[in-house]
Amino acid sequence: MSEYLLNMRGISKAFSGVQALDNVDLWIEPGQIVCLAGENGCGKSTLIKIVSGAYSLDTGTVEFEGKLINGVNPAEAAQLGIQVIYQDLSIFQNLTVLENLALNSEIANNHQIVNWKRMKKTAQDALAKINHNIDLTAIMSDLSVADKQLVAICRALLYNAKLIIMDEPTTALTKKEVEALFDTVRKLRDQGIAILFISHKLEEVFEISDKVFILRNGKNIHTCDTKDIDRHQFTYFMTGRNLEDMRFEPQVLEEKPVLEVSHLTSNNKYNDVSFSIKKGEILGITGLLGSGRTELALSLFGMNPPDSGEIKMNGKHISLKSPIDAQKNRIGYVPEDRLTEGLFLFLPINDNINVSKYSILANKVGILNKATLDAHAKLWVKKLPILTDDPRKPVNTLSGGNQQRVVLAKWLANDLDVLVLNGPTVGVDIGSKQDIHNLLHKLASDGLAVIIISDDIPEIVANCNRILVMKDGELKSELAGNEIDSDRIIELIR
Amino acid sequence: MDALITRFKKIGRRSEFYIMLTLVAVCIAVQFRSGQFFTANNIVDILRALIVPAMFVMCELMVIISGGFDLSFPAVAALSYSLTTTILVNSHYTGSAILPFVMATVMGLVLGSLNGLLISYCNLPAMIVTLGTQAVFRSLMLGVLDLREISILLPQGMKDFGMTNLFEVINPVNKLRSTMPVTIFFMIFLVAAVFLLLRFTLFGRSLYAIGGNEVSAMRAGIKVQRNKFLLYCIVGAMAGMTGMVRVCMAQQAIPSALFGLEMIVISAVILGGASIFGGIGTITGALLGIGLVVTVQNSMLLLGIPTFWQDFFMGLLILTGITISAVQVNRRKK
Amino acid sequence: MKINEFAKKKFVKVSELVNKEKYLARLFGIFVLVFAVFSILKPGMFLLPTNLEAMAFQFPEYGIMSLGVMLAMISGGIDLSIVAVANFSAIIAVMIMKKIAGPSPDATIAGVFIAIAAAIIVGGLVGFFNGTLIARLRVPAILATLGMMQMLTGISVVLTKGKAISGVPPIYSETGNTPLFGFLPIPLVLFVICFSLVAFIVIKTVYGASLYAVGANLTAAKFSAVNYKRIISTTYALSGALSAVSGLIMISTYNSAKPDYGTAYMLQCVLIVILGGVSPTGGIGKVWGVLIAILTLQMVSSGMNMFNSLNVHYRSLVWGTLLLGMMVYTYFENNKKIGLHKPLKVSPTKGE
Repeated sequence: MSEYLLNMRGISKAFSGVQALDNVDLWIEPGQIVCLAGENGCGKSTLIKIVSGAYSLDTGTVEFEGKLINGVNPAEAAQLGIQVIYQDLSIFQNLTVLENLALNSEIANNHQIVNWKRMKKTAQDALAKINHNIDLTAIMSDLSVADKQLVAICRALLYNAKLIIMDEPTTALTKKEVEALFDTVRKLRDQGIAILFISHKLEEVFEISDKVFILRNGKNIHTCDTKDIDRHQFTYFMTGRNLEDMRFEPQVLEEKPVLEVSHLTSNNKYNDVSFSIKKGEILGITGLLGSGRTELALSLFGMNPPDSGEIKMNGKHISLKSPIDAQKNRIGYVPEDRLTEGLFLFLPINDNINVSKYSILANKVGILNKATLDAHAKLWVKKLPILTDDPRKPVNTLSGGNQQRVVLAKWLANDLDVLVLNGPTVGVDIGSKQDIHNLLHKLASDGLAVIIISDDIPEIVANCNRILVMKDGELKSELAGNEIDSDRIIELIR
Repeated sequence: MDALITRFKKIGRRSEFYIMLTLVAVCIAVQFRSGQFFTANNIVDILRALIVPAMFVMCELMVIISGGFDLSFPAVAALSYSLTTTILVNSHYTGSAILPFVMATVMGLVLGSLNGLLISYCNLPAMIVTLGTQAVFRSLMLGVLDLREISILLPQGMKDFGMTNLFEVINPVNKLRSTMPVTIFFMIFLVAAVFLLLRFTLFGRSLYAIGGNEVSAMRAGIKVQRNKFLLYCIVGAMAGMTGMVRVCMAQQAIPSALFGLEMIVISAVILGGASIFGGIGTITGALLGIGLVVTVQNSMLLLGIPTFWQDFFMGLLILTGITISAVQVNRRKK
Repeated sequence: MKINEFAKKKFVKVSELVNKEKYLARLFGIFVLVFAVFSILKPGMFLLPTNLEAMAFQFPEYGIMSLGVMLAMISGGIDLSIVAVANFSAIIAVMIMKKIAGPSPDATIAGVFIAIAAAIIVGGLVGFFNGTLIARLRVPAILATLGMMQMLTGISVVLTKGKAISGVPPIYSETGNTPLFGFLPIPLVLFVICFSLVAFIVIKTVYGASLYAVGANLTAAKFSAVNYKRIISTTYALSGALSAVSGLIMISTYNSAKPDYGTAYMLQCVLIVILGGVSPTGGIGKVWGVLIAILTLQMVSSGMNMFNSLNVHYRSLVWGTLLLGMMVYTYFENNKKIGLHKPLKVSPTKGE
């Protein structure tokens, strides 16, 4: 079957007893755009790393241009024409665009003496391939994320890439930038280059890909041409649940809102946002990157004090200048990136749970009692629950789902009126995702006001009774009850 | 017109610009006060005082660009020159200064390679490693080998070399003579070499890459460990050579002479706009930084400021400069 | 039967502890080893009460400073200004004592007490200033404390014109150098007080627990509503105050104050703290480790002094080597566990 550029059959890979991939197939033809989709933990990253040579496989075959390439290392894979663009882009923020483009080829060709003229030509040739204009002398850290990505793509093209693999390329892009990226991708396809990209975003998959491979729990679940599947089926295959039909109905609602936001503005981030939430509600805030949703969330937690506007808790005007203020006002926040923002990786699970409550758990003179701390942590480990055999172990020994539960526990242990969660189930396996959603429903029924910020539309649709859609810094619309519909939201977002 | 404005804006954002302004301001202020600043012999004095520190600054600059930190280079230099001088004196050496230089440089390279081994191949934090090797080298010098001060017995070849001057200037007013030693060529040579290395070799560019993002550097195919190891070897050799320059110029080899110099050198590099996290740093900036430090020292002498105030002003300069530089780097990071 | 079971339980507990605190156990082992070595090699001199007393006079001087460095390092930073602060505080103290003391014994005692209080307050304030630079202006700790060190040394030189200032009231040095009850050196008492205080603060208080969080992950600490600015300021203020106490001890040791006493201590204290198991990146470290490290180093120092052939500098050699050795050993240990030293190897597939 040498018409395939890349042909992977029967790929299996296990890590210390856990089967990450189980007999997975994937194939791409030259000039095809293929999407590899699935929830986190489904195995797509592992599969990509096997293609690029970063991981070895246990069983299976990988053929590239008809030749068996099992066991190549990353350098050899690159030589063959397989280029991976990682999510962090592997760029040098401190160097110029020119260097970022040309450095790799200088290294590959073992040019010990640097010829700036030659590098300039290399860089210009690279940019010409996608017909985009970026100032070669600009420093990478000054560029927008979208431009950085384009530079990364150009760099990949320098190696006469035949297959370009992109890992979640649109996570940090605004709508316009996504369109520009897709234009570029189409141009590449027209040149006969195959693109394999990982994504879980419905709209993008449908807009750009020719074919889609959906994985779940390390296995192929569904493979087809993009035109032969619709959104509902796609979500169903990815998650195994019929999320479309799920909705959240608030059980108990109070009369007065617990949190009121009026005309909140943060210069250049969001403008004149007003909304309120009552206890028992789950409010969703969604929008593309750059819509201001994250900045708004951070303002509710004191991390990004607004420039004007008012926030009221239980009718009283409050000022949120730092997370300490937020905590005092009974507002909690589960951050987007739990590894860098939510957890202390090598500290014990216990400490991770107790850290925001030390002053509260101490006695009148500020002294902590080990027994009290341990009991407190134990209580929450049981409540969530967090699966661990010893809560004194460092938190990095836990799985993603359990780690997220630890972050949740940390805030739930506080007496809260409002809990804001930014991307609550990112990087969490399906089972945990479900559990966390159920937990949020229960919290709402118990009288908490929950705000979920997310760009995962199925998640928002299934778990919120009201949804705020943000676009370009403005609160575009508010949907409630029957108005909530995925397609409607997708329309409003763009 | 727009392009010109953009150009000015770019220059205005760089720390080197402000250091230069400060330097110019200091020069003018001192000239105003004493009338003696822009005299030929004062300029020569400043340049002369700049030679050894500038060479050390080049060493440290490369290390900081690569994201590392070297506290041991004065100890490397001191051990190299003390050992070399002692050996030569004990063997009644009468030759030229070439052999001493070669010996000191080679010794510096060997000592630097220990740093390189621990920092690159064992992946240990540079600051702590060089703190440790600094202690080891110093104690080898003063303890195990018990090297002593050598002044009168300094090999003639070295003495002669140190006394060789390019030219001499005499101040018409106070009849002071200042000599420009031949060793200035060493400084020029080193600065030029480092410039060429950083700008035109793959090795040099890889230092910036490694300092910027080590993981990306590895992914790009840069042999990170090997390059870091080579870096510390080169820096060690440079330090050894610089130490020998100092001995010749000072006409004596004192083991403990360079004690404490590391702080001033590192401060100068940071003043010049290098980021302590790595990946950013220019030769111009570093030279301006050490130039400012040396000029201020010289100015204080010129203005007749009592010696004990000099440390204070130096400390104030460094603290202010470091703070401003750090704040600027932070602003950049955002 | 019962005694056996009891003994077994205790044994299991101890071995569990040793396993958990591998680093501490190893360090303690080195401590015992060093003690044994010197006791065997120089029994007549090492185990003498006079020697033990002499050691107890010496180690508090730098030991108390080490506690400050420890706090700074656990918070994710470092304090290089300790010696400068110590000298500066000492100079201020001596200047005050000279001014106030003299006319009557009462005035002298009052002067001494005021001087001591002033020194500690000054040390704390300087440290607080460090903390402000680091927490609010976000100057990297190395640079902030380095700059502060330069500044303070400069000010000290101005105050003393570069020389040592003497004129310390005799009662000060006498008290400092005369052991309590005949065998308890005052510096040792001070050390015990400081150590107990620091240990208590670190282990038992909200500050201590939050300190580890700030050092482990500053961003997560911010997101966890930890008052990191206050924690960092307190940390460096404590370090400054501890350095001042060291300075006060140095006054009685040298019977004077000078801008550059004890410059070797800076390196020594950092070595001690790292040897004691504190991680330079923050969030990790136990007070007991630092204590063992201090005592071990003091034994090495005193022990080596007894060998007349080994001069003072051999000490640094041993420390430097010990430090590097410990780090290399820990490195190899860790990598064995993770096994990530070499890039992942590719393996052949079945049936090919």
